[in-house]
Amino acid sequence: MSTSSAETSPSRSEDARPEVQPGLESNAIGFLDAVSIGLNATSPAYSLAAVLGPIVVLVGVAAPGVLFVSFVPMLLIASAFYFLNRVDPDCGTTFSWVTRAMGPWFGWMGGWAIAMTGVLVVGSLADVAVRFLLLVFGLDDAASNNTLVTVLAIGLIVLMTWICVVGTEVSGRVQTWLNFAQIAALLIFIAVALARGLSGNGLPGGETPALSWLNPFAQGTAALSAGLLLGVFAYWGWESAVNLNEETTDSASTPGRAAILSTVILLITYIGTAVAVLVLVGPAFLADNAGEEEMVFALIAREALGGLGWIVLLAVSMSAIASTQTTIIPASRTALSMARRAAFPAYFGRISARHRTPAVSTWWVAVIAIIWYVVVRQISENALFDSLTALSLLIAFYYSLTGFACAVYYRRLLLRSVKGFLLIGVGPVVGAVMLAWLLVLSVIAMSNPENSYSGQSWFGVGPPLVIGIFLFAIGAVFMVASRVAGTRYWQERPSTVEDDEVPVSEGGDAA
Amino acid sequence: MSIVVGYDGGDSSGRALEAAITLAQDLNEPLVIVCGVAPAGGVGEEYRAVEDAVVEVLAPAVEQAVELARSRGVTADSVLVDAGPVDALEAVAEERSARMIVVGYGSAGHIRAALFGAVAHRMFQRSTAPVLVVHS
Repeated sequence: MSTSSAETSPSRSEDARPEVQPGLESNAIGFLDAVSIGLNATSPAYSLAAVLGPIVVLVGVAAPGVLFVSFVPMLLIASAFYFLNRVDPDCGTTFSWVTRAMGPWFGWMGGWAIAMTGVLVVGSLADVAVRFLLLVFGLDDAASNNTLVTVLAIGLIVLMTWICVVGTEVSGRVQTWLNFAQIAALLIFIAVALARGLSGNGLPGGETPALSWLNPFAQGTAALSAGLLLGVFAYWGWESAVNLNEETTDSASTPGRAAILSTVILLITYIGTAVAVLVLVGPAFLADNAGEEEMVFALIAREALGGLGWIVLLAVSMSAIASTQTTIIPASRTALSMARRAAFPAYFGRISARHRTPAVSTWWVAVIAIIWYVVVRQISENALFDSLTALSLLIAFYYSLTGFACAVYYRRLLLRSVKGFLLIGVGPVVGAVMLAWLLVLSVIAMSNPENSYSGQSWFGVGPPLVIGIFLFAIGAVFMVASRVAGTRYWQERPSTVEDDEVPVSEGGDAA
Repeated sequence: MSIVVGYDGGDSSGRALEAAITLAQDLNEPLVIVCGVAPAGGVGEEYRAVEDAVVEVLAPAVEQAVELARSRGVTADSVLVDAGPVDALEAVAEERSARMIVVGYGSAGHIRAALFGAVAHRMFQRSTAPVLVVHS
């Protein structure tokens, strides 16, 4: 072990760590499971239910194009995740990587952003899960009773957190089947909605499909940046598909092929659903029902499938429930990792030895998420959507940071090979610049409250911007406090990749 | 041949340990104390940080268990495995050609066991070696 990596990663330098034997090889992740991991972390049905309505309201018939273009930065940043993960035997994430590449200040903020994404998204997930589940059973009145939904959603957050804390995992196979069932439900929806819309059996506002729908630039920049930001949210988590180590899978080519297939599936379902919705009901219907928030997707599902609408409703609900785990776990583990490196108080690093989970940080994520959810619900009905937009700001921020960190960490090797230059340098940096640019555009656009989905104004600017600035400001206060306390985290210094960690084809000299 | 026991520092696995030590004495077999330390929740995000935290807490408990067994005249050693409890036991049992596997029952809690299956149940289904379940 080299001294430089020991300096930047104290957890690796502890020679006292007892030896841990690797687990069973037969438990390696197979091809379908690898595809499923990417889908599971992205939660297509929930993502569509959450953002398709607002995207169509914002950009109209350009929605398919916006969903397509949003994937580009995701793909480029996923390349950064892939290459950073490969040189990091710690299975880190943005916090560890950015700290190692760019030092403690950037690393701290990256970690904070991840922890806060968990806090912001959980309320929305639980809210959508509860409402759609009530609709599955035809309890429409209950589903529009906000008090009841809030209480049930809090109950669901507590239940899902408890499941994360006791570390129970639904077996990989069950998860894989659930994910593919979710995709099947969406494909059925797409097929039926298209067939009905194209045969003239849709609503009067239904449009005739045109190639121009794939052009995202049809609307103004303000609408486009807001739409793209929600698009980034829709693909959030997909990087898990490329984040698999080759050792965890049953063959070296599995992660690559699985990532390609999960990409194709996501693009088909996202763009297909957007097109199907436009053909069946048209943008006017969505604009008229904009106040219905996520429920608009339920209306459309019933419009398309009639008595079988519950198939899509159930898919959305299951997808949202499954997604609580893939959002709470990264947030709480990042908080634990920050605590263990003394960037957070040690208290957040406590674990449950019996369950092998970061129990303290997990409960804290849930508690703050519940408070956030309840407060935001009280302030405004639409604020839940505004907080999704704020969440997208955080995602764009930490993805962008990760893209830059990748190129910075590998900087010595970038000019040694074409492959390394393109995939490790240019790709992640272009993705990072796109997201940074999107961040700036969105901040400018949100300075005008009219561009907020809810059209509300807080302190003269759009609510998502207020929420975003509020969270970063709190983070900055804690960060400075931690710096003033002078914990050992602040002595960590940036380093670069070692030549022997990188294959020759990418400019290194690994055997 | 050996006797393999699952131990995680909890009460019910403590009872399993007691039973396994007695059996090892009577049968004159070496004892292997196994502890799965993989974080629950899958690979990815800060996996190693969580595993390090788990090892910090569990390794001393496992070490004490080894000492307890040795103090009773049993040849004992321990293995920490980067896997969940069931996979850890299965891997080590195979490797050390276990004569039997000893596990506690109920450490996971009754609700959880009922919903998702206890370690003991899953061992029954998977293990080729006989499984001794010690009730708490």
